[in-house]
Amino acid sequence: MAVLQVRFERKMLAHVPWGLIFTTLAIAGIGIYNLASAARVPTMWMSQSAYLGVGLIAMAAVCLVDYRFFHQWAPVLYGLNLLACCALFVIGHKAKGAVGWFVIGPLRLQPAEFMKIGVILMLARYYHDTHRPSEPSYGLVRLIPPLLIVLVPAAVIVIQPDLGTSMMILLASATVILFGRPKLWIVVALAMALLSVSVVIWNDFVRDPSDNHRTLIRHAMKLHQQQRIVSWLNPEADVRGASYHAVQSMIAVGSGELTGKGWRQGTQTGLSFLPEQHTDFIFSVWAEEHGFLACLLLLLLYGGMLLGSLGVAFGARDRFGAFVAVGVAAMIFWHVFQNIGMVIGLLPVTGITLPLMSYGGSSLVSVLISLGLVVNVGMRRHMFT
Amino acid sequence: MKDLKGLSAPEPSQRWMRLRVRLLGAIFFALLCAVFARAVELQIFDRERLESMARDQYVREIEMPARRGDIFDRRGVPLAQSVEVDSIWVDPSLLDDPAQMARILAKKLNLDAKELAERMERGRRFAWVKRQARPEDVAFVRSLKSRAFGFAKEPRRFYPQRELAAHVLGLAGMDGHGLEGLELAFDDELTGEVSRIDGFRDARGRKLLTQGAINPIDRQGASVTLTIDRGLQYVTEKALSRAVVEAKGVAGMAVVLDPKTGELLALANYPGFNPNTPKDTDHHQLRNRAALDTFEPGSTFKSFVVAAALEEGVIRPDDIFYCEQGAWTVGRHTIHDSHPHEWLTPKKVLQVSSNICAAKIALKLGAANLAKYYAAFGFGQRAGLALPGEGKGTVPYPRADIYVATQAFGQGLTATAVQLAAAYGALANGGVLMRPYLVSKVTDPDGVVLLENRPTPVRRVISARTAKTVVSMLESVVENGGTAPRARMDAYRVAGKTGTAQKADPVAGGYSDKRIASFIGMVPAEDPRAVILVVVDEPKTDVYGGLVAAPAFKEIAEAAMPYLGVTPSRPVAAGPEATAVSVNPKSAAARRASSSGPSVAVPAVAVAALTENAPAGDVRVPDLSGKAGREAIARLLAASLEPRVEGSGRVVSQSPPAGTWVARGAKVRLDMEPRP
Repeated sequence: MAVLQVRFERKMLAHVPWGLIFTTLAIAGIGIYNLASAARVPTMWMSQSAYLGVGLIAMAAVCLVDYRFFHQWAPVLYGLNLLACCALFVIGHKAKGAVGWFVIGPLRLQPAEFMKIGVILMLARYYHDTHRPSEPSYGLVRLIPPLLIVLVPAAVIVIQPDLGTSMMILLASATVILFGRPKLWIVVALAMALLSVSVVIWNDFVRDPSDNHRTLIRHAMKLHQQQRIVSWLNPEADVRGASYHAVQSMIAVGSGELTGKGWRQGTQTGLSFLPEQHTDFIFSVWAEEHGFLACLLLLLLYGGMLLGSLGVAFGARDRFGAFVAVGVAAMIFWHVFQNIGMVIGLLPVTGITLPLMSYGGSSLVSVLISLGLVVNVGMRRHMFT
Repeated sequence: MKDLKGLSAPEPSQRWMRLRVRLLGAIFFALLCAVFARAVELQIFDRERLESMARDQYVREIEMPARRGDIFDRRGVPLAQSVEVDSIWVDPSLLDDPAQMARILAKKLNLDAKELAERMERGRRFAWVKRQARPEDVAFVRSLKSRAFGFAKEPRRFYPQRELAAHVLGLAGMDGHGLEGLELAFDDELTGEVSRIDGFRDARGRKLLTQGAINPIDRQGASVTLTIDRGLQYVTEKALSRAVVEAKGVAGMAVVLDPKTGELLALANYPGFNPNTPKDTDHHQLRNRAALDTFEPGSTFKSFVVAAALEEGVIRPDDIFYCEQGAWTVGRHTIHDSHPHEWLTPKKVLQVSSNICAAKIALKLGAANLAKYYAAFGFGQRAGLALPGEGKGTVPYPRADIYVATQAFGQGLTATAVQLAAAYGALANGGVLMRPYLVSKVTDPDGVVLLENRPTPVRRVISARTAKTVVSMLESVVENGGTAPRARMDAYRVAGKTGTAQKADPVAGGYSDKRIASFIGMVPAEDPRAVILVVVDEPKTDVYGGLVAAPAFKEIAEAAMPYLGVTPSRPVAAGPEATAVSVNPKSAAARRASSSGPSVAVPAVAVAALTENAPAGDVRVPDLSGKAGREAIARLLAASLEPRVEGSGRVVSQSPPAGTWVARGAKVRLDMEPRP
């Protein structure tokens, strides 16, 4: 059973998802190049390059191991990750009011980033193991274990507090669960819930307030909570206050125009109007300095990466492989969507990194390991056991 | 699909799975399209609005102060300049041992170690080490090659002539704004327009001039040209300080005025200060007292009384007045003369400076006329130098006879030194009072004249005939038997008047035994080119103006006359040195003592005829080797020669050599080197 099988066969080469690897390397290269402009201190892009090296080695190592090894060890990996997240409260490093890091010498480790992988593996294992051909859709009872798998780490991470990562885990897991074929009434119920939230938001915040209609929830909310929603819906209403980030990043993206201002020529970035421009708002740097066409290129690369992952899911040998590939694709998609959506004023501001672009070693390495898993699944799609 | 045969999952499940992967792909694609659409909206359709929002916040009008304008003397010699000086700052967080570094810096840069250490402690990331540091300080800090130090260019006011005319120029503070004197009076003009340029700024509002920066040196405030002549100013200051020191006075002031134009050629105060190191100076020492402060002038006012009485026809030059043997009671007061006299003509009254007879003439003139003439001579009104804080003096209307009497000899009223000089200027200028002025021109950097003062007649005070009569009477003052024989010059006719005023006691009331000794004179008497006033405050050795102030007057006049190119009034007895006027008053005094002969009042016409026939103004070049630059120049100017200076420091060689006879106004080249 639990044997680490490091085996490489010529046959695997034929099925390596080259497109996925190419887009990964391309985006990572752009990421370093862009970071060198965003953070004018050379130490940042240099350390990011080092992490990229570490991540690529980890990715290769992950590829070499048959992914069924991860299927067997998923509970252990999940458990260790969860333990690490809990241990943060005891020995974690406190920064900006949150415990998010282990500090080991010069290294800063963010266990929440690796928790994502644990959750994806665990979900994939659950859906692989519990598959009943006679009853392919999942009812409420069969959904309890996957919900627990997701909600426990999400809760631990949310009280660190790291709302963004927690939300990403929830969104990616929800995608996987929906992909795992819940009963139709559950899907309908979720759709109804989403619709009603939209209606409430529209009624309370978007409708012209002059006609004095009844608000549904707004009157029960605290002022700062209301403000957050208002500033998301209309960022330019309060440029210096609540929506400073949103407006500044929109200005950065918009002023990039078609071809951009040139590498290291961005005024929003260079004159530090944009806080956190090297982490959460990295996309605005790219957009400002290289313009619309480069944004399009980056979006196409991410699209290609998602397509590659879904392609692996499409041709995966077993349910575990397919669910891993879907989970990774969902995780990357939601990061990209939420991050870019936030930068261009489509979504509210949350602390979400842009995979392979944002500064941060743990995020980079965990994304590369996740992609390594997908490549692994792709390579071994037609192997016999 | 042969590869699929070994898969454990059954076929329908596989199909479902692939369907859902496609569905998921479609959802991802749709959402990414939404992102893409938004990017299009921002970067294509909204770009102009967002770009202008970006520009609005990073482009800021940055105010660049212009370089402060220069102040020049009448010949264009800079008296005040602005230079760019390095200021040194430090980021203490980058130092290994800030306390140790503070000690080293304090020692090398002449700073207080404790204070510097505290400043570095407070500053955390930024602290000034030394603002407006000396070049050697900057060189030392640069030699440390530490990343922690930075240098910032700051403009600094520099006064190349040091103490010269310091009171006139005043001071500009470290922030580049005038605090005193002309620096304050013409602050707006000197500061110039602040140029506004578009610069980049970052989110914290710091200036970041990445491009298009204007070098602040290129912009400059207006320059101010004075009527002051550096050479005369130097001679005047030197003579004044000698007079005050020798008389053990507390202070002194001197004015040299061109009576024909009203230009102030020199305006000196003692004690002086070095405006480059203003910290060493008490604030009250900075005051330009000669232009601003009023004092009781004393007997110098008698000339105006006699002039007014002659003009009104209440006396004639040959009238005689009885001087009451030195004591005369007016009402309940008694007026004294320093020496008892009996019968005196107006000329004699001025010559011996009789208070009693001056009072009698004033009483004959009447209070109304006295007040009218004093006002006409410009007293009780601001002289109009445009200096802040300029006094106007008080001339109360003399309601009782005793006040008429005391005002006749210049007590019970006040005037500034400039007012007094200007009023004597009116006597010297054929009775027309010229407005005194100090600033001839204010020119902006483009050459546009912002302000120009030209000679301005204020009014005719007395007729030309009366003026001439009074001046000729005043010539007797410097003759033997007058109060100021020490002011007599060999080559030029001098007309003048002494003043020895009692100082009012501000605490006890009435008058103290402190004196203000003064002498005011004009040379040459036949056609005055300069009015020179010397005032010594609280002299101790002697109190009389004729003894204390007159020698300084003579010293200034002896340098000024050849300098202004005035031909001597009378030929001077032989001797090769005769025309080369000595600056040294001792040798001049010695010469005068030996040659004091009967050369009294040669008619002016005869003098002119004589001097025209004299060999065309030959001057002997003085020996200047080893002299400091300033002194060498002063001596050349005194000898009517034009200095051409090479280098700085002390004279090492000169051409033509000492002793050569050259034409007046010839150029003398001085090679200077710094003292080894």
